[in-house]
This record gives sequence, C-alpha cells and structure tokens, in this order.
Amino acid sequence: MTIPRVSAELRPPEPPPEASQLGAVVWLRQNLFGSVASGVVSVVLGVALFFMLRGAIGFLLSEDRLWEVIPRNATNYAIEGYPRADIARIWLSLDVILFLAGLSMAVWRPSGRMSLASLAAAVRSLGTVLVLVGILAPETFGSRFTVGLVGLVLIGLSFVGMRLSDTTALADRIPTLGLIAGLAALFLAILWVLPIESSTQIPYTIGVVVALIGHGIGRLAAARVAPGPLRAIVTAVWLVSLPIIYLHIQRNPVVDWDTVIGSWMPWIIGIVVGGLALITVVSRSERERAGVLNALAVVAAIAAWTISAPMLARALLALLAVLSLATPTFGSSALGRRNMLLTWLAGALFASYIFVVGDAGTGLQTRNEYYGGLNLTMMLAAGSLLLSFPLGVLLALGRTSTMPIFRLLSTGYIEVVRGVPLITVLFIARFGILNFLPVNLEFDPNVLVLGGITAFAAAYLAENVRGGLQSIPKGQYEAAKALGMTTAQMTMLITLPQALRAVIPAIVGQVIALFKDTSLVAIVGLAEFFRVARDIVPNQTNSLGSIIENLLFAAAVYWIFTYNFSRASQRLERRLGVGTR
Amino acid sequence: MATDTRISRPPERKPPLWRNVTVLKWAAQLVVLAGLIALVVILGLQAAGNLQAQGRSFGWGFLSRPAGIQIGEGIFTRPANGFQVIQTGAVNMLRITVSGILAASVLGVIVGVSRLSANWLLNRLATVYIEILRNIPLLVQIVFWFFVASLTFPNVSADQEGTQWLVISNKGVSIPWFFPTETFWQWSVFVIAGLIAARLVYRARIRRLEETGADTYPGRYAFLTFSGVVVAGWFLHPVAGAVGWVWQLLASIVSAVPTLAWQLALAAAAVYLAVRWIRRFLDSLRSPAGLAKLTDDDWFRIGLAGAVGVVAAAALVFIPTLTASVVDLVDFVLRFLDQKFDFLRTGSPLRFARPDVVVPGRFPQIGTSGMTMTPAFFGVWIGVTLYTAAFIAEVVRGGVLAVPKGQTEAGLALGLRRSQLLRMIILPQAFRIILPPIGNQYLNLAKNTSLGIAVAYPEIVAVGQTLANQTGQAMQTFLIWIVFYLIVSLVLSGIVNRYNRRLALVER
Amino acid sequence: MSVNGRKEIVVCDDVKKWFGEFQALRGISTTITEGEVVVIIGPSGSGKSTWIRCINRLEVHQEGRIVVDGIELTSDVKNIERIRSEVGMVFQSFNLFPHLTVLQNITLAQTWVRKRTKREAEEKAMGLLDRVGIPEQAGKYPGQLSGGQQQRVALARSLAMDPRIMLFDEPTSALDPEMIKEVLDAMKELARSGMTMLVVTHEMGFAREVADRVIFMDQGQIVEEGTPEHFFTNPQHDRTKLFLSQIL
Repeated sequence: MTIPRVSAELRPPEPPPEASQLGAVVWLRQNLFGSVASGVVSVVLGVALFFMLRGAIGFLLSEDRLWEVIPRNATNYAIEGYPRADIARIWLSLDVILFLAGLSMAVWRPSGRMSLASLAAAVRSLGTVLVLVGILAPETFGSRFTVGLVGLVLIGLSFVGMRLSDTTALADRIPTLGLIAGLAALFLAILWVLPIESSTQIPYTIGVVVALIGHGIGRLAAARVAPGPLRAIVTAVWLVSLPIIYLHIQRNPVVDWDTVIGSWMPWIIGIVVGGLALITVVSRSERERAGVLNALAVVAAIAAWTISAPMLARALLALLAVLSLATPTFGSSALGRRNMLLTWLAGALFASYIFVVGDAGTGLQTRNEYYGGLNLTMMLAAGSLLLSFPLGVLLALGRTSTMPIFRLLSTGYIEVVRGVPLITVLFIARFGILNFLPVNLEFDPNVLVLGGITAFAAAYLAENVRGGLQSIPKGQYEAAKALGMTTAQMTMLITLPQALRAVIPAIVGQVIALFKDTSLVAIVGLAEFFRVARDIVPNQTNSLGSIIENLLFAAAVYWIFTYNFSRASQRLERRLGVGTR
Repeated sequence: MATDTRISRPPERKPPLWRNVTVLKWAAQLVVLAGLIALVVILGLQAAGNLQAQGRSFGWGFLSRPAGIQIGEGIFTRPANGFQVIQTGAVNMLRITVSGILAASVLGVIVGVSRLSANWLLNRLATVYIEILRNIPLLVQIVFWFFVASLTFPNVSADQEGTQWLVISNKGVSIPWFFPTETFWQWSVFVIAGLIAARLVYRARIRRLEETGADTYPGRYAFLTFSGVVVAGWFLHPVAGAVGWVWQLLASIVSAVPTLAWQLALAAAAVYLAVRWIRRFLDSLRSPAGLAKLTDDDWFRIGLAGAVGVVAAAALVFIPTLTASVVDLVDFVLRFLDQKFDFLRTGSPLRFARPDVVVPGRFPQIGTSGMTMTPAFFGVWIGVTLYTAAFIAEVVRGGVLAVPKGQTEAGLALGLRRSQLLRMIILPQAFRIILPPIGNQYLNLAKNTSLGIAVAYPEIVAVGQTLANQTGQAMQTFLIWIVFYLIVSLVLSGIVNRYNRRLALVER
Repeated sequence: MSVNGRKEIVVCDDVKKWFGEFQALRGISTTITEGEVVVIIGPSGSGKSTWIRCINRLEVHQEGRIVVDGIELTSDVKNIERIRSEVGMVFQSFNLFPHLTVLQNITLAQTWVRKRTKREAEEKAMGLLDRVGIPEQAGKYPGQLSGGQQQRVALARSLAMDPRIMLFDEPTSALDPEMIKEVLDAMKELARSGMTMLVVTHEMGFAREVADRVIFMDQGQIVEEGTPEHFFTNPQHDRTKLFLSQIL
C-alpha cells in the first residue's frame, strides 16, 4: 500500500443491503431461536402457552359459565341502588360529561392521527385473536366456526389495508377523532338495526349527538377565542360541573327556599358586598393599613365560629380572609384588583350554591345511599382527586417550608398517613370520626368515605408535588427573589407552576392508583362497582354460582380504564419530555 | 433625592415587632399550632363526652379480658384475651408479608429480566403479565384467587386418610413444615451466636485475603462456621438455659428500682436529649471564626427545643402512670423471655411434621399436623405476590436500563462474557438504582396484606375489626393499627435505608 | 502477510455499515501494521468512531471484511472474545465501573478473562498505575477522581489486558483543558513503547508529534491518508483543506 493516498471523489450513499429486510425465517431466527437457550425457552413457553390458552378459553367459553348474568345486571353495575324512576338524571349527567368531552376534544385539538398501516395491524391482531379462540374453543361452544371465520375475514381486510397503505398516499393518515366518531356511528347503527334492548337506543343516540354538538361549539369557540383563556375556561367548567352533577343533577335537591331567603340570603349578600368593599380598600391601601384590615378579616373569620352563624357564613368569611390576605400580593395593580374581585364574586356565589344544594334534602324516593355502582366509583375517584389537590399542595409547601413547625406538622401527617394502609383510614373515616363529633351531626357514609380517601390521597399527592418542588433549580428561586418578588408571589407564580408541570406524569399515576383504590370502599359497605360484582349480583337468587364470572367482568372493566389511563400518561410523559430536560 | 447626595450611614434601628419577618413567621406558626392543639382538645373532650353519654369509657382493659373470639388460623385460634387476638392478627400479617416479599422479589426479578430478553415470546409474555396484573385492583385479584381456591379446588376425600406429603383441597393447601418446640428459644441463642461468629470469621478471612492476596474463601468459611455453631446448638442447646438467668436478673433489677427513680431517670434523659440537641445545633453554627451571631430564628428553635424537653420531663415526673406502664412492659417482656429458658429442657428445637387427613365423622378433614395454607391465606398471598411482582419487574427493568450503555461497552471491550458482564458490572449497578423503589414496593406489600379482611383472612385489621365490634373499643383498635403499621413501615424502611447507605456510590 | 517486514495487524476491506437507512461507513479499506500509530480525524458524523468501534465489534459491520491479528471478525462468538481480549479500548466518557475501586477496575478483567491470580493482577495494576502516574489513587472510587485521572485509570485498565492494539475513541473530548495534557502524555509514552494505536481525536498537536499516519475521514469514507508532514503541510483533497482550515 502506498501513502499518501487520496481518494478521487466522495462516493454517494448506497441503500442498505437486502438481507436486513426481515423475512419470516430470519425473524424467527433472530427473535425466537437466537441461541440454544433461547430456542429451548421458546419451545417450552410455546407449549405451556398453548395449554394455558386452551385452558383459559375453555374455561371462559364453557357451557357452565353464567355470562348472561352480566348484561342482565348492566344497570346494577352502572348505578346499583339509584332509583330507576329517576334514571333520566343519570343520562343527563352522562350527557353533560359527553358534551364537555366533545368540547375539550375540539379545544385541545389532539393531533392524533393513525396511519392506515397501524390500523390494519390492530385489525389483524384482533383477527388473530378471534382465529385462535375459534381453534382453541371447546367442542361445546357452538359459534366457534363463526368466530374463527370472522377472524379470518378481519385478517383478510387487514392485508387489503396494508396494500392500500403502500399504494395510496391519501389513505395514509386517518384522524383518530374521525375514527372514534365512525365507531360511535357504527355502534348506533347496530343498536337501531338490531333491537337488543329498545330502551337504550334513544339515550345513547342523544349522547352521541350531544358530544358532536359539544365538538362543534368547541371548534367555533377555538376559532374565535385565544387558546389560553379558552382552555382555562373549559377547565373551570369541568371543575364546576362535577359538583353540579353529583350534588344537583343526581341528588334532585329539595331546597327549603324560606330558610335560604329568610335567614341565609342576608348573610350572603352582606358578606359578598362587604368582601367586594374590603378587597377594593385593601388593594388600594398602604402596606400597614392593609395588614390591619387583613388581621380584622381573619379575626372575623375566626369569630364567626363562636357565634351562631350559619355554616355558609363561616365558610364565606374564611374564603374572604384568604382572598384578602392574598390581595396585597396579587391585587395591587388595576388588572390584579379586577381579577381578585371577580375571583371573590365567583367563589362566593359558587360556595353559596354548593351550600344551598348540599344542605337540601334529596328529592329521590330511595334509601340514603343513592349513589352506587360505577357511578359511585367515578364520583369517589374524581371527588377525592379534586379535593385532595389543594390539601396535597398545602402539605407539600408545608413540608418544604423553612418554618419548622409547619414542616414538622406536614411531615408528621404525610408520614403517618403513608405508613398505614388505606383500609384503616377508611375504617377510621367511616366508623371513627363520628365519635369525635357532636352526636346530632349526621353525615352521609359516602361523604365520610370520600373524606377518608381524600385525606389518604392528599398525603401521596403531597409527596409527588414535593418531588416537583425539589426538582426546581435553585436559580429559579434566586431569579424570582432578585426580581423583588415576595415569597408568596414566588411560590404561586414561579415555583409551584413549574413543580406541578414536572410531576404531571406522577400525578396521573396516582390517579390510576386512586381509581383502583376506590374498590376498597366495598369493604366498609359502600355499594360501589366492585361490591356489585362481589356481593350484590352473585347473591341474587337467579344468579347464584356466578361469582367468578362477575369478578372477571369487574377485573376487565377496571383493566380497560386503568390500562388506557396509563397509556395516556406514557404519551403525556413523552410529549412533556419530563426527565429529558 | 437629588438634593441629598451625601452617603449617610442608615440609622441602626430594629423594625417594629409587627414588621419583623421572624416574629411574624413564628407568630403564624405558633397560632396554627395552638389552633391545632385546641382542635384536638375540643374533639377529645367531645369524644369523652360521647363515650360517657353511652356509658362507656376509654381503657385498655379489653386486652387482658377474655375476648370470646375464634380465629380461623394463626398462633392462637382460640385466644384467651384481647392481646392474643391482636398478636395472632399481627403474626398472620407478618407471615404473608415476609413470605410474600420473598416470593414477589424472586418472581419480579425473573419477569423484569424476561422483559429485557431478546426472546420475543418471553419478552411479550412478561409484558402481558405486567400490563394485566398491575392494572387490575389488588382487591379484585385477592377475592378472585380466594374464590378460585375455595370453589375449584377438590374436596378432601376419605381415601386420602393418613399422612400425606401434599394435600390440595378447597380447605387449603397443606405442606410438610418445621414447627418450633419449647426448646426453640434456647437453640435460637445459638443461631444468633452463629451469625455473629460467621461475621467475625468472614471479616478475618477478608483481612487475610487483603494481606496475602491468596484466595481465602471468606463466604464458604463464614457459612461453615454458621452451620457448625447451629448444628452444635441443636444438641447443646440446654447450655443456653444460662441465658435465662440474665433475663431474671434484669427483671428483678427493673422491678426492684422504685418507679420514682425511673421517672427521674427518664425525665433526666428527656432534658439531656434536649440539651444535646441544642448543643449540636450550636456546634453546627460554630465556625472556625467562632460562634456565629444567633438570629431570632435560631433563638426560637433553641427555645422550642428546650420547652419540649422541659414539658416532657415534667410530664414524666408528674404523671407516674406514664413511667409505670413503660416499666411494666419491660418487666413483662423480660419475664416472658425468662420462661423460655431452662437447663432441664431437652429435645430437638424444631419438629418436622407432614400434613395428614383425618376422618373424625362422616366428613374427611385436614388434620392439624402439617402447615395448611387456607384458601384465604392462598388468596391474599398469591394476590399480593403476583401484584407486587409486576411492579418489582418494572422497577428491575428500569434499573437495568438506567445503567449507562458505556458500562456494557467497556465491559465487552475488556473481553468479559455477557454473563460475566451482567453479574459483575450491570446488576451491581442496577441494584443501587432499584433498591429504594423496591423498598417502597415492600412497604406497599406489607400494607396491602390488610386487604385480607375482604376474604376473612385474620390479619391485624380483620381481627381488630372483630375485636372492636365485640368489645365496642373502636378507638383503641384504630390506635393499635396505626402503631403496628408504623412500626412495620419503620422497620422495613430502616432495613432498606441501611442497605441503601451501604451501597451508595462514592462520589466527590 | 507483511509490509516492509512488519506484520499487518488490522486489515479492513470495503467495510460498510448502515444505521437503518443511513449509511455510516461507505467502504473503508486500509491496512494497519504492527507498532503503527494511526490518528483518525474528520468532522463529527464522519464515521470515525463507528469504524474503530467495528474493529472490536461494539458495532457490527454489514458488508466487507475486518481481519484483526489474522482472525476475521464474524458472528462467531469465540473469535469475537479472542479479538476483544487482544484489542483494548479507551472511551470518550471513561466508562469506569463506578461501584468498584480503581484497583478493582483494573484487576476485574485480568482475573476473569486472563485468569490471573489476584496477586499477579494487583501487581500488574499497581505497575500500570505507576506508569500513568497515579499509584496513590488505587483505593479510591472513580467518582472521587478528576476526569483526567479517570481517563488514565481507563488507560491502565485496558493496558492490564496486555492488548496488541489500542483503540482510542476521542479520549480527551470530555476533559477540561488542563487535564488533556496529562492524558496525552500518557498516550505519547505508550506510543513510544511501540504499541499499535488507532486514535480518534481532535488534538492535532498529538497527531503531528507521534502519529505515523493520519487518516482523514468524511461521509463514512477515507478521503485522504498520509504522514503528518504530508498532511499538515501539503494536503491534497479539497475536503481535507477545508477541514484543516477550520480546525487549525
């Protein structure tokens, strides 16, 4: 070889060699029979898997299974003890949620698009499963040939789809939303063509239409309003609609207007007007005068507990004290003052509404526990998440605070609650708390248990938020201080928002855990979804011996929810790029 | 401003009290603290009033009174008093916790490593396992396994009568087992001594290795030492009866000293702890240049620590029952230990027994000689094991993936084989990453055993609930639960933290 | 197989490698003889690291042949193991094992791959630590050392295996300027002792001082190769000129 050596010109790149295009044999060799050990594992697992699948499918499709119990009890699973005469209220709640879901879809515009190839792959997996079921099903299962045939047809369709995705550029990307809408339409068409249960066609149709309307309105709004405020508004509507659904729509409150107008209204009007005046004055005052006024507001809030004011008045005064304390920090500018006043007005009115509705008796002709089934499960999960949020954030701030007593109290609370199992907390909430309260106070068991889950979830949430707070670089604090921010401004405007964004995936993980944990309230006697499967349905005289079927059904329902939650959280994690920054 | 350009020293004036940040901070904290204490007092008074109105009172007497409860399985199936009820529940809980942690760790590591396997089938099966198991509430799984065991396992049949090696039935799964006998405690002294001796030998061999460089097989030597001591103890255990004297002596000392002396000693200890805290705090502020000027904040801390110490000491001195109960407990434990040791006891410390099937009347049953895993135990155990294993598998996978790729490359470049690489480079590093989250999973497992109540497995929550219903002493049961679980949590996290500190990478 | 009486130790013949659709190596052909010090330079993404990582099969080439010390690199596990124990490698990011002390880092592969006794391995390790100038750090953990010290330990770790060839993948790129010299000094000392070395680096001073040959790579191929004098005084190819004008 001679040097120096110079190559005349640069070679252009070549395509990769054909051998890297995987054939079936190559795939098998690489993935199943890479080495002797791997081959042995593959064979042993394959045989074991075959027998396990055959056993499982044989068990599920056996003639002895009482699967008909599940559709017969669909309503029990959904709402259990809720009076059937008022079932329209449940549908209305569902419609509200569907409407908001459609609206949110339009506002957040998930850019989800699916390629035809991946859709075809999904169809092919479904087809493969059906074919496998057809092959492995027991002799006694009459429709095994039909199932297998449907599977084969699906596989065939998927290959057609694959070819199309190779040749046509148009069919390459299908919007996920369109796909969902199409599936919903298909579902409706099946409902109307095959009269399975005539009473549910109409509400389902209304639900789909409502969701579509919501989506349409969302698109109109998105075209006119800036995305930031619009999203804030939609989020607020979601937060407000949940209490309305559970306290108003589903409870059908019977409000005693005489009491409300006669003895509450003067308090409400007085405090709201006084609050507007106070916030205005405080926001325009010197620092020291504002301090005096705020101290007076705090004293008034505490004093309200010593005189015989209605509970509503005490709550409003407490809210006012908090807002007035925040006013010198956040309400000193004209815009800030307007926002503070609006916050006070909206908060006070909503709190009054909640108290009026919550204090009213229910108009349902039923026993006390009118929530049940999946409805109750959802209420506990959503309710405890919403309520635990402020408490958890406060605890996290307390635990990271520089003030030793707050830190000690927060740490103590968090560690004790995290040290004991949820079931003990539920027992204490359901049967223990009442011992400490005056005997004439009565609480709905649902509320007590909701309180227990909230207290439990808050401790875990606090740890997540603390993780976020500690992940914020020290420079952020220093920058905020250097800009002359007070500690409160720094926390609310700089550190807390960053911390919360950083821990969104962890919080979603906690929502999943919370959803699974709601099954525990069955042990303290609430008729939620799992209790329906465990006790209520299997003990019906015509459903005896169906416990395993019911448990499997419950497991499947929980699985569908949590699996999709966790997939969504993984997507979110990727999109936020948490941990990569 | 423009007129006065002289540089003037600002007058040194303390801000007024209501503008002093420290004062404000501490005032806010103390107000909240006072409010909380007031709330607790009000609630406590209310609770006392409620109890009085119902003609009940708060006390611990139910622990020593007959409970009138039968327990399905455990060390006391017919407990003589409330304390034995709690004890049985606690031991049942610990049984599942310990065996579940072992099983879940093994299974979790296998599944986690399978998840990283290049074998597609193994990889996919592990993924399916994880995705199914961790997305279904544990309670559903426990109840499911319980019903699988009690509905689908066969009945005990009469032709199984007699001693068996393994009985699988809807009454439970029975296996042969070793049971401790009355000489077990004496032997356990040798087991502990064996552990200590093994540790000493291990260290000595390591030192030898470091000095000479020769292979000294410290692990093997330690194991042989331990086995030797334990086997010798099997025959020599009556010698350990002498330990009984030590307990006796200690017990007599404890009860001979008057309560007042203990009170004063404990009070002195409280004051000493407070003083030590303050001194350490001051030391931490001391720099080579001398003691830093104390801020108001520091003064508040010192004052608070002193106040806590003084209040605790005063409580110990003026409320003798506090001290008396501690002394009673210590005395009780010492006398209990004393009973377990006696020169005259002989016989093997462990008894091996196989399960048997008996037919007392028309219906065949499982006898009491073997170890029987009831359907409830089976349900809870399988449930928590499979569930926790799914989470451990994810932790293991994450830990292995978190080891930087450069480590693998460096190992390969040195010519290490895949198996050597995994054993000596990847796993030791992954283990450090894995350990803290695994510790959390162990804690979760321990807490999740409380779901046994759903299938009537008599662990501490279930028996506590029964006891509370029986005696009406719900408050005390709640307290027992909280204290028990906190102790378990503390012990478990203590063990994990210890290992964690030991394994921590040394950094600059 | 010898050129000018010296044995050919690495032979690459039209080596090609793809990452998915991207072609990283577009046919590398060259021969390296025993005792030669070859410095490889080129812009980032030109395939320098990929190429030398192919030589001990940390990356798998798809076409062409690589023969190291008479053994052809195929998927035969035995050949790979033999070659890896003959070829040492020093990485940009040191890749010391953080859970082992410096001494253990150096003795581990000696005992498990070279089957030396503990004493032999430790003597060897201490000798090498002496050679790279940090015998006093033997009991410390990598996390306690500076970057330059870590890289010298990594060098000692590789040398402990008595390799016939040493590969250096940008050994000084992750170091602070004041530490680069101590690593380069150790490498120069090694070069003078007659070791065959393939060095990917941006340190032109090093190339000028100790290289027998400089290879300039771009777009996955060897654009120009020659002696340092040829290279730094009279480069031929336009790409080479452009690169050198940017870097010098």
